[in-house]
Amino acid sequence: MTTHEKTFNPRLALIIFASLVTLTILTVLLSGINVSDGTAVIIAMLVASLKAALVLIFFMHLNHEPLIFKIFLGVAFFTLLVLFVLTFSDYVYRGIA
Amino acid sequence: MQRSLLVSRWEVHVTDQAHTVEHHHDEEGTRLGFWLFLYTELFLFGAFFLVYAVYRSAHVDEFKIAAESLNTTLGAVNTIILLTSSLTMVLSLDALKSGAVKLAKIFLITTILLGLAFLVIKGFEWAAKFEHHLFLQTASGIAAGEGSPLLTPGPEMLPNGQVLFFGLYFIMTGTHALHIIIGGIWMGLVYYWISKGSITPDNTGVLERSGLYWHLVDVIWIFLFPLYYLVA
Repeated sequence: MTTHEKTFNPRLALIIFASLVTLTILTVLLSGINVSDGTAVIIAMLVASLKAALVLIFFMHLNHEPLIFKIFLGVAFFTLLVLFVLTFSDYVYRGIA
Repeated sequence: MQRSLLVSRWEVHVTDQAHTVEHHHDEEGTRLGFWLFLYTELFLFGAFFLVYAVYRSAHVDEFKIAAESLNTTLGAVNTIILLTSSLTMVLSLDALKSGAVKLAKIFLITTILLGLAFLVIKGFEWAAKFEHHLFLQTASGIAAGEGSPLLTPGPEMLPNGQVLFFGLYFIMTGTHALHIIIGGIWMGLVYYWISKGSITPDNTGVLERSGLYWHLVDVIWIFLFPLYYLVA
């Protein structure tokens, strides 16, 4: 068997996991506070985005990937954003949403 | 000119093949291709999230009333379960890369079991909804008189916003659960391949990609959880 450059060290994974659990508890607690619906959705989505970023960067190892992986991710999210903006520009204009 | 260039390239290619003993495999290219597949998944769920966003903004109050019938505790427990399974998946890959095959297998089987636990809890949640006459209806089912009185036009029918909420709830959590099942089967195969010796500490690509898939399914749940269980 060849020697492996990596030794098993779960420290970083455990730190990320603890952060994810903390953010989950935080988002449940924050849902209890009395704010308008729009604000509540924005807060919940911000926490969810932070959690998703932690998973993408550390669990899915984007931090170790070449630049092209990050560009692909950016293009994908931007395209999704365009879909949302275009759809809502139509619905809001018509007074449906 | 162009033709001779093509031919000479082709010849080089043939010579290469004849002289290369080991099969060439581009691990990074494979991974990039897998990320492209993951983006198709992103757009599958992205479309669902878009439909949810439009209908929610059109029926804010109805969505909140309907969301209150979902069990936040079970949703939160399932979130923690999936996060834990993502952790064990990462640890499985780390363990295998460091040569600890047995440890990698233990973490992998833990990941599969956590996925199963998620499905069991999801099953109880769905069963509770079925008991309250909330389920996915088919057009033929409605025509045969098997539709729910709460979801089909009639005196007992819920307001449109709530009908839309439950329809989206079943479609989105159902599609997500399907991904959990596919991920579980894939990890089962990976476990078998590790046992058989075709996935080794020097050849971890398949485990790595099944991990990427599993983490993506986790990311989708990270967004589903607040949208269905929290903003009530």
